[in-house]
Amino acid sequence: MRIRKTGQKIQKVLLAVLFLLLLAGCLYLADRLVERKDSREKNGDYFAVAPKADVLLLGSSHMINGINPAVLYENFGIASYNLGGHGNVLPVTYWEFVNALDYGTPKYVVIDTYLLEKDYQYLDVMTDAESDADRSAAIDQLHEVMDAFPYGKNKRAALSDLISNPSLRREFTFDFIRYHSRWSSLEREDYEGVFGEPCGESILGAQLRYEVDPGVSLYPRVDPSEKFEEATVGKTYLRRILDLCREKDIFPILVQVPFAENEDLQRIANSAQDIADEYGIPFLNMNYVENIINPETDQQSQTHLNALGAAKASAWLGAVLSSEVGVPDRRGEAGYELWEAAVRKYHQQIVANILNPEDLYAELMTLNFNDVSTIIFINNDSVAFYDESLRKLIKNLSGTDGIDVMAGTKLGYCLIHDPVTDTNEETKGTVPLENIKTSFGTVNFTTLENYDLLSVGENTDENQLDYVNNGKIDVQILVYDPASGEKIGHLYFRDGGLVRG
Amino acid sequence: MNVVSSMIGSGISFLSLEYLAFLLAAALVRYLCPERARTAVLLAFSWLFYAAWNPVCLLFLIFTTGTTYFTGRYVRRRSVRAALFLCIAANLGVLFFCKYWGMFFPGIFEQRLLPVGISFYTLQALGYVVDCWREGKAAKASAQASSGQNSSVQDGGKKSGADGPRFLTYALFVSFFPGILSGPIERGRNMLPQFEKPCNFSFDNLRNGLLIMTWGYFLKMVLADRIAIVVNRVYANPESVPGTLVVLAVLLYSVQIYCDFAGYSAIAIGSARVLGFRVMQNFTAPYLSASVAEFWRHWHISLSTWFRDYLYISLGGNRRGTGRKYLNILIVFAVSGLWHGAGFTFLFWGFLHGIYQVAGYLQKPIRDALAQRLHIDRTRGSHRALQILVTFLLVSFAWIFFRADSFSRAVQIIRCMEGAEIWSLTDGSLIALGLDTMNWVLLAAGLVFLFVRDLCVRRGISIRVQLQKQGIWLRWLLYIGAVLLILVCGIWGPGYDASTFIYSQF
Repeated sequence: MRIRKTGQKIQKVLLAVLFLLLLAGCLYLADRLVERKDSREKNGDYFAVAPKADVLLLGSSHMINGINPAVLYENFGIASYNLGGHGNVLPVTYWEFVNALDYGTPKYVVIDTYLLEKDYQYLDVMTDAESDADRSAAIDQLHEVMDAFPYGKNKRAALSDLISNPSLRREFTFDFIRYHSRWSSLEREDYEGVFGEPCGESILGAQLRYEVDPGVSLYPRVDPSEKFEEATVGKTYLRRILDLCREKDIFPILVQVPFAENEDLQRIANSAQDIADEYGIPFLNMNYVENIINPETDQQSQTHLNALGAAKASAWLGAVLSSEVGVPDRRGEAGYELWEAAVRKYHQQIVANILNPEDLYAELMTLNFNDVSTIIFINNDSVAFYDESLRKLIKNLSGTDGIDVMAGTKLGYCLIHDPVTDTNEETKGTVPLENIKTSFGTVNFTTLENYDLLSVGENTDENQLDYVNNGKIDVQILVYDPASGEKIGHLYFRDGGLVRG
Repeated sequence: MNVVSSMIGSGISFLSLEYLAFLLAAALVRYLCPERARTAVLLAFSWLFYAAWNPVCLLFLIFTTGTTYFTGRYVRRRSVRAALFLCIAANLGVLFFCKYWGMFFPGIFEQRLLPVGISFYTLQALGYVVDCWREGKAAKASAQASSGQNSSVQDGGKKSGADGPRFLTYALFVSFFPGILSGPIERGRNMLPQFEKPCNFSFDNLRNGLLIMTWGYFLKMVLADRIAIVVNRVYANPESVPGTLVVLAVLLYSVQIYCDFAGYSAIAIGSARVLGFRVMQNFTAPYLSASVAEFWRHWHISLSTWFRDYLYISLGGNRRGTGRKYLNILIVFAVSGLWHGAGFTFLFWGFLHGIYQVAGYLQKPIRDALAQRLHIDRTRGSHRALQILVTFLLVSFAWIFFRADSFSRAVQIIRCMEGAEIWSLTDGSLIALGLDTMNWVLLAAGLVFLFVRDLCVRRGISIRVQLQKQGIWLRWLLYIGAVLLILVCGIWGPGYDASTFIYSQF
């Protein structure tokens, strides 16, 4: 009898343990389901590539949006990873660097000096100048930086140093505390991310912006000797980063990613030169280098680069790293497949954005990458002719001022842009474009009495311009695959390009 | 150590992981330690739990425990009314000073110390003293009857007066941590024998306790706190919301306070069950009541029966004529209102419930006559459904005064209920109240489940018992599903104040 009772007790204990295990498993899956995926999506690849990465890119959103590891690899063979974080002040950058070193030690670190003037350490406290919304946003952004890193000694130290409220720290330890309320807005990616790695827009940590801000304000340059002299927490942590580099034998490079910065921001950026001099390291202030970017076409906002600006800034930085710093070329070496895949993903992303742009500005910006061949047509009475920003973007493509000339003629405008055959032909008045040889066929464009006729290929009577369904459309853009010559897109824009047709 | 120190002053909320760990630790120690030490161990846990809210307030608890224990011993033996009154006056004096001073003497002296749960444990302890006095009185009467004229009254009292519980046992009864914050307001005759002879560990108690707690967490975190988002928004700015949605918020508040307090009670009852004790029920589907009087037999049962046993009956109950009965009802409900909060809105809320009941008694002959004349079959379900609806609306109306910060805000809410803009239910205005579509769907589904469960309660069907008859996989599926539902869909996390049970402020 006693044996039987003992057996029953053991059975109950075993069942209870099994139940708890099942419950724990289900909770784990629920946690994976509701977690915000952007941290894993952005930084998840880092854990795989860390031992191979020669260069780590650190800093704020300027780094994420402005320096593209795919461009660095494609053009210079530089194996880099972008660990920048949105809103990263330098204390956050420092701790992200410390955590990153747990997985690999790069030979070079490029550090963005933006937000050097910030004089607070705790993100949940900040200063009186910031609002509660700022504090909340900072915590949110810290999640994107930190969530992907497993909980450990360095992450615990980071949280203690960055967040004063212990209960707030706890939500970084168990992010389910914060994310469980996402249950009502879960998307396909959330379900797919339960068992696999989330697939998003990041390219080795970089996040490219495919929009153009046509209203960027420009400011005069201040003299590099004009500096923001005050000591700040930001400067202290920049020094801590540099000390850590020295300790780990990592070569640091300070950069200021280019954008149309106002005078105050210029003075703040200039003050990084003092710290660079203190440590005897280079400070690449790209804002003082002529013509790296054109702020009127290469910025997504007043302070951030778009994908085109990022490509230009990355190309410039890559050239410096490659030729002056001596970062090795890894192209063709085994073990760098992830970088090759990133380059492919980058170009696929460009084409995807060409076929599905935010607006005409974004479309013209992405066409600059020369990943497709295209014909751009602007209707004779389009308001697009009067939009200076649009004209600048078209001039970027055509390489001439032809669009300015056509703007006053009340005639339709056509630009044939084929990077494969290096063709750039545009209309000049009523003179037709005849027998233009391109990779996608022979192109003819004629302005007739009531309409314009665009033909591609043998059949010169078949008008490629859609007057039946889209006669009132301002702008039409035909997109061709440069490899096959097939038409892969026909886009329409109304109201001068601000609205997709 | 850090965890413990962080709890001091902030308390251990039922809705925290700390509480679950605390309960588990208490259960482990209580079952593993020798039987004779179990009471002391549980008392230590209970005082630690209470001290975590404010160590100073533990002195108030010990004061109440000591005065009522020794007075109870005394009046059980000697049945001295003056001692009873002195004890009641002392404890009500402390309660008054802590809770009502500011209400009646604003500006004279700012009294900031309000021990948590003081309204609950004071009533529980005073109930015990009154029971002792009644026992003493009954024993004295019985001794007088049995020993005839020769026996002195005093001797009779001494003979009848058993010593009652040990001090530690009684202290545990007053301080028992699952119920110290907001009840249920227990009776000594139910709990003291259990504390005297605590049962051994049982899987059934553990499982049932956890299931009851799960139900409590569901009510609180999935329903009550979800509804609170809507209600808080409407009550904060009723004029910006269409009248229909103000009505909806008023009705939802009725459900919110039910889910909030019934949720709390379930967690308390479940916790006690995990520790091996059976605590009285506090709610039995109150909104399925067909009258306000019936509502009070199913709402906050431990309080309403306390007022019935110790105030209404003491005032004479219904034995002194109809008029006195109505007056007693009005007094009891006014006191009940005041007990809930130090504010005239609470007083009015209680008084309104008294008026409802008196009006119900007064109208009864008219209703009976009408029903007979119109040949209304009052046994039909449809008639009962109508009564339930009317009762729910009356109770909901009264809750406006309970919920509003002031009379003027309550009147404002009532005024804002004008205008039946029924389209505001479908034109997107609902979403602007803070819940998205999925959350409204979840809330609606939860309310349907609550309704079905309450129907089962009224029909004597226990879903928990029915569930335990099912196969293990189905049971486990439902258990795990329930935990996931609470953790994923419950309202908690950043920006959520886990200590805010509505009744914890009383």
